Amino acid sequence: MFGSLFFKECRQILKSMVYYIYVVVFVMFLTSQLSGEMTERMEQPQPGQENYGFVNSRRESDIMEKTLAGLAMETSWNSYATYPMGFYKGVTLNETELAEVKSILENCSGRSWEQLTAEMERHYAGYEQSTFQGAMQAQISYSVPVREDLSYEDFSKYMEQVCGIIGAGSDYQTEALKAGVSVPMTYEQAMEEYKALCSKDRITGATARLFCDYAGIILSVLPVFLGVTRCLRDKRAQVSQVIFSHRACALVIIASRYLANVCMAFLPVVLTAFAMQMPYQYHAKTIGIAPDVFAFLTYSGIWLLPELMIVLAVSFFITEMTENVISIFIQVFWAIASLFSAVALEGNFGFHLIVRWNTLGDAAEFWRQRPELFVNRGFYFVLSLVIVVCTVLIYEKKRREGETVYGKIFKSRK
Amino acid sequence: MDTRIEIKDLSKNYGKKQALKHVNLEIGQGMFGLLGPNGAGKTTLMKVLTTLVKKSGGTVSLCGIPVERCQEVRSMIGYLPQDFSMYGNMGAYEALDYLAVLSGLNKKERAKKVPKMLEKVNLSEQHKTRVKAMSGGMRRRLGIAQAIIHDPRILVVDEPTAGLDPEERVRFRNLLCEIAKDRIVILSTHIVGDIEATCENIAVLNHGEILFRGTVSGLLEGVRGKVYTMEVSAMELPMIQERFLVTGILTNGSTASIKIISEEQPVKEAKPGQPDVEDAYMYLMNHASAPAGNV
Amino acid sequence: MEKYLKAGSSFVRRQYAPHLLLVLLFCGMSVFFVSFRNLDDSQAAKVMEMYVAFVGILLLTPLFMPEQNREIWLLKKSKAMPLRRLYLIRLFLAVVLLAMIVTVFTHLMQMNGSVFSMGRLWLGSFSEILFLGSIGFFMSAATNQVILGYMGSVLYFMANVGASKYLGQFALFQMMKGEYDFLPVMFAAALALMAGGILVREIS
Repeated sequence: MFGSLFFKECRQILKSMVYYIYVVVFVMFLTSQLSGEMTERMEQPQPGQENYGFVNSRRESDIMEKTLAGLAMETSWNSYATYPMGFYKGVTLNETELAEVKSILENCSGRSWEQLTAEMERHYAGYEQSTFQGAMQAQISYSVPVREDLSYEDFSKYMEQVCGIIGAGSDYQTEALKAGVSVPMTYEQAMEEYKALCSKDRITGATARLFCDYAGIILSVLPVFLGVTRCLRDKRAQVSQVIFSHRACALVIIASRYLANVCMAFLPVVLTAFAMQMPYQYHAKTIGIAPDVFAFLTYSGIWLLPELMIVLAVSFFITEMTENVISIFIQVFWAIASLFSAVALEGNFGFHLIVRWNTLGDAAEFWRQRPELFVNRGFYFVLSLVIVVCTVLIYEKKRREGETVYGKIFKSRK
Repeated sequence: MDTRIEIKDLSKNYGKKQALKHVNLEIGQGMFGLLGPNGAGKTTLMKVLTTLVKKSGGTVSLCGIPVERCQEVRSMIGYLPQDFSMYGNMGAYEALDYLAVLSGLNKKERAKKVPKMLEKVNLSEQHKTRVKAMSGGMRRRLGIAQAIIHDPRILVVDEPTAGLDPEERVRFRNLLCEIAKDRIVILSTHIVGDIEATCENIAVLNHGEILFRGTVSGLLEGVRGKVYTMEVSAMELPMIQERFLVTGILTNGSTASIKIISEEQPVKEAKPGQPDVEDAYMYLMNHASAPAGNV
Repeated sequence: MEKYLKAGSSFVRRQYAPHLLLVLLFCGMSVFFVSFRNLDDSQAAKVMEMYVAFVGILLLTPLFMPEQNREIWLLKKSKAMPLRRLYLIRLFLAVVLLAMIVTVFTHLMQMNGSVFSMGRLWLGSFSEILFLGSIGFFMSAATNQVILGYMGSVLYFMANVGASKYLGQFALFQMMKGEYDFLPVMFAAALALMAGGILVREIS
């Protein structure tokens, strides 16, 4: 029974307009983000290059310099990024507060605010700001030298003061400082990085990761439309009563629908990933490395499948419970909050719905953080199964009692 | 093997509203008609039988199985709801096949039974017609096909003939009678003609209570000798309608020949008439306040 | 007049109430996500364009929901009151609510020491949010599926995060960059989409 239902569901999905929009939007989003040729960033580094990219550093001197640079930047805009509830909130200060922060900056760097802004402008003028690459490079290489006699402890105290002014959840909190900062790479580091790219990622692993990074953003929202459409179809076609009266148990009905949606939603993901990694497979062969042929499959399976599953599970659950489209807003909200709450665009997986690795390579660091990714995705995988079971229970309850909790509240108010 | 539906002291409340009040019924094999006006509680009773609504009190068992054992009950009933519908973009064959899966039929059984059922309900030629393009009658026939495809021991059909044209209605009734040969078929309707043509055993439901249970001839018995026909002038009609229960009016210019139900002969000109089920039903409804069984 | 009031209030009670509740919740939650204090022109615009914008989607997309079922649609169409008038009442209600919400947000920012040009931001935000909402309105009219309506406007919003440069005068988030030229174009587009939506629903 399960198999037949599953295939019938898949056929139904293939007939729905929402699915084709899903596929088109997904493919368009990824091709627009990943269309550029990236092979030049996978060449062996040569000594004397202008830059070698960047790397995460936890050295105290690096932390102090980069943090002050960030603070100087934000102060010049008078806009501070904070995450008080785990979500992004921009904070703007008034004149007195701003003056306080400036004096802290002056104390830490031993320079006047005017000097600092002049240096900053000079630094940024040296980079092509209109391209993403250039702006990124400018930001990474910018740092503010620290007053020579400033100890890390004193620096930490100053930063606590800054937090007091800006509010909770800023980059200047002790925990954020501990996470390290991005600094430009040296040739030796770049060489090590290249070796990791060849041995661990075997080229295609790195591209698969970047693919997952972008796909993860759009997949935090897109599947919700499939889930809501499926669950509301019964209501729309007025077939609930007929289906309820049949023998099939709630588990078989819901699980077959869920699985069909997961598979059909995952199919274009895998196909796109496969198509997009082809040039890199070829590239790997040309530079004499045996590429990881299945990287696109393992990465999307581990990285994207649980995300897709949780989004679908939540939409199934909420829609079966409310028989309304509310789940779309909840999902959009969750996705945007998750997107903006990423403190780093690389790693720090935590329990974010959208996990980021917005860089090509950085294999050694990724392998170090990989267990955290597994925990995150494993968590969502298990959670989605739990939510599906809850959906089954709700469905069976509706079947027995003929009404939803939500329906009782809203439909009785004539 | 038990082949009866037993309903004892069944009650169902929706909040403060009592949809079913202490209903007692025993339904055996064959066609069983459930008659009553709209809102009498017929649909609620059927939903209790098909596990779609939880009862508030009493016991219900279908062929010896208590209704609480949903899974078992569902596999032995077929249900055609009042407003049967399917996913609009499915063709007749596809829709029936889908519901057959839900009834637990395997691929081989479906390949054999689905065409047979479509044949039986006269939809073979339209097996590709999409549900959203179907007429009310076609949809209803598809509905009956899905309700019997798994050969259920009990078939529950809710107002199956409402909205059908006369020809389709007759065809539908015949189909039901054919199906009822070896199983229990419960048919609910507010159209008296349906019951008259098909059912031997019936129950009349009003305001959640059973007003009558027995055979059609038993129902007719209650009104025997109380039906009269007479000719009146059109002017008198309103006055007569106020005093008597009028079940038929045929106007002819300034006069009208009418059929009334009265305990005694109303006027000398009135002649005794032949009662039909509709008269009996109207009489029963008019005496709804009288306790059941007294009629 | 009375029958219009009645049609409007019946819609609010039977279908619109949960959506309004959601709008209220969304506005209430703004304290956790956006700051109203000491903002300048572009920061105030950011609050309106990136947060309040969703109110447009929430308010305008579900307006056709009661008649999604074809039978109900046919029934309503047969009534004396033309469907377009019914839709106009709902649209009017939604637009008035939107104007109120825009007013509340802009004033909240001003009261908290933000400095920006009020009239310009108000008109810009109103047009832009109305435009975003009217995309959902039109999509749900054209497809008769409210989900596709939400999908259209939400995806349009997301497309603007990455690819606003391809959208010319129809790009969102222009006020954040200090651009206000889009205003008449976008307002006209919003009107066109709303009129188109009503027309499509009336005849289909």
